[in-house]
Parts: sequence; structure tokens; C-alpha cells
Amino acid sequence: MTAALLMQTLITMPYNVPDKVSHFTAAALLIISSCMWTASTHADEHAGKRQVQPGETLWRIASEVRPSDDVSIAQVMQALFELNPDAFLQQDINQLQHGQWLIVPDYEQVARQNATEALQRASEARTSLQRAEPQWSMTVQSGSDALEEQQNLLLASSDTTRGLAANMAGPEQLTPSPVEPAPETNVAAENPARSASSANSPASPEADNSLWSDIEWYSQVNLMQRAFPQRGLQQQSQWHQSVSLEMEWYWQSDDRSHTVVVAPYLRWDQQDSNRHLVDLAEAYWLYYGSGWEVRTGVNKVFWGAVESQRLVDIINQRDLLDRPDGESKLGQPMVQLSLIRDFGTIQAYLLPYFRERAFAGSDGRLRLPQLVDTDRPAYESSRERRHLDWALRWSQQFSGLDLGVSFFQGTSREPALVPSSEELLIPFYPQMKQLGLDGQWILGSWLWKIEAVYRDSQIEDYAAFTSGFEYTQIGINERFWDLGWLVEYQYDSRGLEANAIGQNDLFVGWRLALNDAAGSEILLGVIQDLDRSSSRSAYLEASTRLSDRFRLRLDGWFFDSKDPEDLLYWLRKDDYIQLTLEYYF
Amino acid sequence: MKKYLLHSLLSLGLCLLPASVVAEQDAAMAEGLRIATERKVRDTGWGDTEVVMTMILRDARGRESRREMRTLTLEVLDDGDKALTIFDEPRDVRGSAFLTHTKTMVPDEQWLFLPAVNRVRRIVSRNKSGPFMGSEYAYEDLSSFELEKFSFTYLHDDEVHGELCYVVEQIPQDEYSGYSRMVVWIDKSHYRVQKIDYYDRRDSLLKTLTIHDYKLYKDEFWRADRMEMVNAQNQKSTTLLMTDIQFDRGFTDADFDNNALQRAR
Repeated sequence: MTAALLMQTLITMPYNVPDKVSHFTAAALLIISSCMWTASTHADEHAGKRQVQPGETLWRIASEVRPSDDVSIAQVMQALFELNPDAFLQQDINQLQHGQWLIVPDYEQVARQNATEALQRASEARTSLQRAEPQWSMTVQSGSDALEEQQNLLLASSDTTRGLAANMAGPEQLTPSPVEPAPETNVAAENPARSASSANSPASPEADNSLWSDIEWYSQVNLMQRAFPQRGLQQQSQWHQSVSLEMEWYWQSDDRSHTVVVAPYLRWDQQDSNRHLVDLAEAYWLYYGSGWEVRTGVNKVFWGAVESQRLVDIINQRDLLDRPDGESKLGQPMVQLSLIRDFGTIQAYLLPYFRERAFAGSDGRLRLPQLVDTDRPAYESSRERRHLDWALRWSQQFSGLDLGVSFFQGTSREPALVPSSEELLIPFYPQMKQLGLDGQWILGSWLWKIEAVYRDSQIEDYAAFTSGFEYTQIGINERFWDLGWLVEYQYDSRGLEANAIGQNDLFVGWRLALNDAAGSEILLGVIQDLDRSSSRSAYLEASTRLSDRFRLRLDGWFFDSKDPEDLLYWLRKDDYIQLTLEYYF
Repeated sequence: MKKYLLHSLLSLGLCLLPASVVAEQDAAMAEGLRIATERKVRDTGWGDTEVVMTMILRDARGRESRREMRTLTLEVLDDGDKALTIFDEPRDVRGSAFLTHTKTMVPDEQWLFLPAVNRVRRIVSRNKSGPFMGSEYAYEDLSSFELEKFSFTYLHDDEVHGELCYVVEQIPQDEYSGYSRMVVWIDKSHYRVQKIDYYDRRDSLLKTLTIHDYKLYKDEFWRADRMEMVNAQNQKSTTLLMTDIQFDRGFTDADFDNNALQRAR
């Protein structure tokens, strides 16, 4: 699975991030975080200290404040414990209390700790705050009656978790109901770092039992540098920088039946303003009942099985400006109902709003000679982007076989580009129907894959499929590297008329998983057109982890074609490599 | 006459010798199976668990990196158990989830959920000998213990961690296992695994697992708080700490299907 865990990756890199980059990132982050949590700045008395957040463990804090890789996390824990005896209830290393300000040890203070003893003590320490919290609350209430009552309550809750209906009531008895959340600003002040994973923690005396403190918040900044060895056909620049920010707020009810996810996405590009994007990648409420679930809001849906292209996958508009292979998508507003039965899972989608495709602007790369006038899209349906699209999918897992059959009716995600003048194309979105099939079948070390579609619109009707296998050689060397071989054949019934790449093409790819601590992987793929011998493209995806919070990616695309009838012909000068530094916070 | 008698006695003895070796071997295998069965029986009926884990990976130079994950497990009485592991750290894999349906007679079924693309990928489960998250644990080390997956031979008694133990040799039946054999120390008091030596396909010692700080749950089931895997060939090691173990979470099969995998965070 490590092979698959991280789709791309590369060679061992130095563990330190280049200083300039990290400073830049840090500055960017500082601005963002200070905007979001202005209320969280604290008085100077806490300088050099660190406050314990609800749900945090001593391990987590120790790993965060570790001054150097020379010392172990266990040593840091021990130093934290010695420097802050009052932060632990009854001087028990297991009972770190949240809200406490910890003095952060320096290198000498940590290095002084005996490594072996520290590890021993650390392993004895059961540092989960979830566990420590109820004990603390008992002490706070003081008095053995209160203690007994608390224990009874706790017992009651673990009993009730067995029944779904009871489950709904159970936790609420314990956790004062979140009907009256504290004003947002106050909560922000109390929980500046909000990474509270206290989903399971029952009674807690603090304000953190409000709804807000259960919200988890994650962010990611990506700094991207694209380098094109040649100027574009329209003399566009060789260097393109962009920055993107992905955020996610996540909340789940104690009984796990309700989930809310909000995930905005922002992108800024130095050269091409068409690549600027403010998107809601995800913003949905999920309710899970027994045997069914419903998702309402903006979401991303993936259907499919093969590696070399996306045929069946139709729900979301693709963000080709992010990645030319269509792996990147825009959020789609929808109501999705899933019925989970013995005969498989039935999913029904209602898609009330259409997202248009974006195309590169005049200064952008990877574009046709004419510009696409995205301000004046044309639709077959008079309801235009408000046409109600719908889809159905049945999927089932058999032993060794995953199968899906899907149907979609609505606005084509892919526009026909109609010339309106010498330099301008107008995107025309027809209505279409698509019948799709996707399957994966495991035979020993072989994973066979297929995707097939039949599409029908006023412009054309055609069938296409992509099918092939992935064969993995495990532990090819002393270092347990895995090498996967990918071979897929792409067919399109429109043949050379097809306004697509992959009408009669062969894809060969290699996926190398280094199985190292950095989770390094490399994927190299080559797609050769079997009708046009000079037409081929290749891509490279590689990535490696630099630290707990940084990941480095290297992506590259290479295009080659001598036939002006071929789509690839217009990309022939757009080979590029892209270096991405991802920072997670 | 005496000489003849001696001869016949000798030849009789020569015939009997292999037979007795075979009989001894059978007895050792019967005893091995008895111990393994007792180990399995004593750890049957626990229902379901949710475990919060921290994994600390150490390379040969002592440099550490950390993994945090939660594993939900459902006991399946007539087949292998089901497990869903959700990764929390490192951050670039946060939200990835790994679903395993362990099977006793056919290969395990495994799926991986990739949150960045909302995609579920089927995994070729033959890849059981590969390192788990770059650690010294292989996938097969972390899957549920099933009698059908090994043959057992009792070797001798020994003492580990102050506990008197049976030492049992375990030979994987799966040709794709990364091990030629494992030597397992099982304590006589509660039939808990205390230590395992893993031998690679060339039959040299690959790594040693020691299990520490067993605690009793539900008055019946022992779970360890700490496991140490030390690789004897490359000097790397991985500590697995269970920071929270909860039983009776009320899981059902529906918490371990493809839909649950996509809901997991």
C-alpha cells in the first residue's frame, strides 16, 4: 500500500528545506494565520511558553518543540515534565492538563535527560488527554459523590454507544449541548490552535465542550515553480510561479452520524490571470444512517479505475490549468444519496449547478493558438448552467473484483470549441448522456483494470475504453523498493476525428515506491499514439517528504507531435517541469 | 546365535530410530498447534476495538520520525478480522485510510482511500512483506493472527520478561510471506506473545519484536501498550505505542466497507 499511499515521489533529498523558501513560507503563513486568529495573540508573560490545547498529547507537544534531531522525543517529554511539574495533575506524566502554559526546554535541558530512561518513562506514559480529562474533571468537582456520579455517567455512555438511537442521546447527556456556543471570538481566544481532536472525549469542565472546539482545522500552502525550456508558440514566458492555499474545516458529531466539511481553495498565478482561482473544493454536510447516507453541498466525486486517463469520471469539472491530466477538479454542488445494500451500493446524484471549464489566457502556457472566450459560453439547454443534471451509479465489491456501472445525463463537462472569429473560440456545452463501466480485478500480483463509456450528444455519439494491468514487483532490492509496471491501451471509436488524445494509444508506466520513511515515490508514464508514430507524450510525478510538515514534488510533462491535426501539436513547445513545495499547518 | 540376535536387535533399532524421530516431530507439532490454538482461543470474543497509535521510526543514526494513526478493528469469528486504519500524521498523508479484510483461506482484500482525489484504490494484497509506512513493521506483522496461516512446532521452554514461555516455531503457509519462519515466545501464564524472531527468506535473523506492558481489558483480553521492532540487519527500529485502547465501540460490518472507507477521516 505504501506504493499507492503517495502517488508520486523522488529520491532522497536533504532533510532541511532551503532557508529562503522556508522563510518565505513562514512569512506567508504568518500573515494568513494572524488574519485568521488575531484574537489569539497572548500577553508577553507567556513569551517562550506554549499552551496545552484540548486534545493535545505530550507526545505531540514534545515533537513540536523538539530543539534538534539529536535528541529523542522521549527526552523532550521528560524535560517538559521536569520543567513543568505543576502542569501535570498529581505530578503524573500521564495527566497533562490542557490550558496550562509550558516552559519550553532548550537543547541543553533536553540533552541532559538520559535517553534510555526517558524512553522507558515515555512508553509508560499513556499520554492521551482523552483519558486524563475525565479524571481531572472528577478532581475539579471534588467530593466522592461527584466522582461516583461521573463514573456512572461514563459507564452509561459506553453502554449507550451500542444502540444508534441511544447513541444520539448518550453523549449529549455528558457534553452540555452545543445549542449555545460561546461567541466565536472568545472561543478563538481560548483555543488558538484549535487542533482539538477531542471527538471521543466525554465530560470536560471547560468551555471546550462547545461545538466550536470540536472543529478540526487543517491547511496547506503550495509554492509552485514551472519551468518551460522553450518560449511558447505565442512567445509566452518560460517561468511561471504560482501559490495555492488549501484549507479544511472538519467537524463530526460524537456518534459519527453527522459530518460537516468546508474546504476552500485559492490559487494565484504570476503570469496568467486565468489561473487565478477562488474555489470551494468541498463544503458539505454528510448524514450517515444505518445502510444509507446523504451528502448535501459542494463535493468532489471520483469514479474510475485506470491510471492513464479519466473516462468514466464525469461529476466534477476538471481543473486543467492545475494539472493537464485532469486529476485536479472543481467542487460540484450536489445532493448525493447512497443506499448501501447486500447487492451493492446505489448512488443517486442531483447536480443543480454547472461549473464551466477554465482555459489558459493569452500569457498562459498549454493553450491552443486561439483564445477561448470563457465570458461568453454557449449552452444547448436554455437553463444554461442551471440545468438540473443527474447521475446514478451502482457499485459492488466481490472477492477480488470491484465493479461499477454508472449513468449520467446533463451538461457535458467538456465543451466543443466553436470559432467565433480569427482569434476567438467559444465554448459550447451540449447536453449529453453517458453510460459508464469501471472495474478492477485482482489476480495474484496482477491488477487488471478497465473503464469504458458510451456517450451521446447532439454533436456526436461514440464509445471509448481504456484497459490494462498493473503488475507489481515487490522488494526488488535490499531496500525493499517496489516497482509497478503499468500498461494500458486507449481506444476511441471516433478514431483520428476524435477531439481527444488517446484514440488508439498505448500507455506504459512505471511506479517506483522506495518504501522509506520519507514515503518517496516516482511515477513515469509514456503515451504513444499508434496511428501517428511521431505523436507521444510523457509525464513524471515524483515526491518525497522533507519533514513532518514539508513535502517536495517534482512534476513534468513532455509533448511531441509533428501533425497539425493532432491536439498535441499545439503543445509541442510546452514541455515543462514543475517543482512544488507543500507546507502543512 | 547370540551374534544373530544382536544383529537382528540392531537392525530393528535402526528401523525404529526414524520412526521415533517422526513421532517426536509429530508430538512437537501437536504441542505447537495446541499452544497456538490456546493463544487464539484466549483472544476470541473481544468484539471490536479502537486503538490510537503512535509509531516512532528510528534510522541507523537514531534519527526519529513519527506516525500517528487510529485503527478500528472488528472481530470476525468465522474468518479473518476487519481493520480500518486512518492516518493522522505525518500531515501529507492525513486522512488517508487503509481497509483490510483479512481472510483465512484466500488472499486478504485491501483498499486505500486517497483524500486528495476522493479515490478508493484496490491494493494487491500480495504485497504483505513490504514495509508499513516506511517502518520496520511489514503489513503481515500487523494483520490479525489466524491459525490457518501457519504451521506450528513446539521447540522448547524459555524465560522472557520474567515470564516462563513456550517457544514455538511458526512457518507461514503463504508463499508470498516475507519470512521463512518465525520463532514465537508465548508465556505460559496467559498465552500472550512476548517476543518474535523473524527469519528472512534466506533464513537469517531479520528482526526481533518484543512486546511490553500488557494490560487486561474487559477482565479477559490482554493488550500491550508498547511494541519494539528492531531490525538486526540494518539497525533500524520502530516503537509502536498504543496511546489509547477502547473496546465495545459498537462497530458493525457497515463500518468496514468501501463507503465507510470514504467517510473515514
